[in-house]
Amino acid sequence: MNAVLNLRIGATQLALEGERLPATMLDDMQRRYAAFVDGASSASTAMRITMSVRPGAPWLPLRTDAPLPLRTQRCGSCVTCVTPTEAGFFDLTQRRGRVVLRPHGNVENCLRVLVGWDAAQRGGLLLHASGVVRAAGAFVFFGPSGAGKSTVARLSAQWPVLSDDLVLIECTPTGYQACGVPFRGNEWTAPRLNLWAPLAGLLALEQAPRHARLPLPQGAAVARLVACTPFVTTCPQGAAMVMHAAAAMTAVAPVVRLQFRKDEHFWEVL
Amino acid sequence: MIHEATRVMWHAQAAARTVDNQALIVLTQRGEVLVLNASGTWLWNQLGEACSVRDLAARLAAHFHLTEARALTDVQQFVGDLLQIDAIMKEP
Repeated sequence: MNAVLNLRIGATQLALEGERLPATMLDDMQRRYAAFVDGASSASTAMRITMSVRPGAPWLPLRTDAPLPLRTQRCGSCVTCVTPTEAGFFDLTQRRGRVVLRPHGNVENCLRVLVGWDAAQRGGLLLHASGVVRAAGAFVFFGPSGAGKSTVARLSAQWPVLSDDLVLIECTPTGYQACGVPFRGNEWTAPRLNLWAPLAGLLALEQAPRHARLPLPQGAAVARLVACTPFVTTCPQGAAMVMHAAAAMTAVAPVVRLQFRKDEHFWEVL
Repeated sequence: MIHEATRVMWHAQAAARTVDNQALIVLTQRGEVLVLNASGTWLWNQLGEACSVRDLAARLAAHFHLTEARALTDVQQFVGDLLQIDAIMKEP
C-alpha cells in the first residue's frame, strides 16, 4: 500500500499518494507541509492525487533568465498544469488527479494551480498578496511583484503573518475568510501559517512617499484583484470565474488603495 | 486605418464582465486586464455579434449624438486598438 499525505489548504482537502516515489520525497513533503496536515482529508470530498517520478526531457524549455514557464488549461471539469519539471492533471468534479514529476520536480508548482482553481470554483481567490491577522481580522495586501507585499509582512512580524506571497480568500456561509497557504517555492521567506481569519480589509498596495488610504471604485478594484490572481486567468473560462468571484467579493468587502512608504506607520492609516 | 467594411467581434481569448458600468476585459493570452470607459464599454457590448465598423459608427453616433465623421474616427481608433491586443478579432 502506498503512503498517503493528507493536507487541508483553505477548504481544499488533498490526499496525496506517492506511487514509487523516492523514499525521502513524501517525508520531505510531510515536513514541509506539517502545519497543513489534516487527518480528515481522506473524506470523500478530498482531491485524491497520485504522484510519481519519471525521468525524461523537460516538458517545457527551461530558461534560467526568465520566470518558471507554466502552462495551465481547462477543458470541461479538468485542469492541466505543465512546467519544465511537472505535469499535472486534475478533475475538479471527480476529485482526482495525477502529477508526474521529473527527478528534480516539485509538486508544489501544480498544487498552487490546483488550489487556485478549486478556490475560484467556490467563489474564492488565491491572490498574490501578503496577509496579516490583527484583532479586527485579516488584512490582505495585494499587488504586482515589487508592490511591497514582502515589506508589509516583514514590517508586521509582531502579528501572525499568513504569508508574504500568496493568500487564499475563501467564500464561506459566514463571510469571506483569509487563509494561509503552505506554498513557498524553493526559498524560505515569511512563515506560512495554517490560520483562518475573517477578511477585515483588502488593500491594493502602491508605493508612495507618504502613507495614505484612498478609495478605489469597484470596477478598478475588480480589475486589480483579477490582475493579482495567478494560474486561473490564463483561459477565458477561468478569467470569467475569477471576475465573478472578485465582483461578488468587492460588493461586500470594498478594496482601498494603500499608498505606503517602507515603514511600519502604514498601520496608522488603516 | 481600419476599413469601414471590416467586421469585428469579441476575440475568443478575451473574457469580459461589466462592473460599475465599466467593462473589464481579461486578455488571457497576454495576462493583462483592460478597463474600458463608458463609451468603450458601450462599444464593447455591441460586439457580442460581428458588426462592421460602419454600422458600429452609426450606432455610436445615434447613441451619443455625435457626427457620423467623428463617430467613425472614434470607432476606427477603438477597433484598431482592440485588434492590436487581440481583445477583438475580424470575423472569420
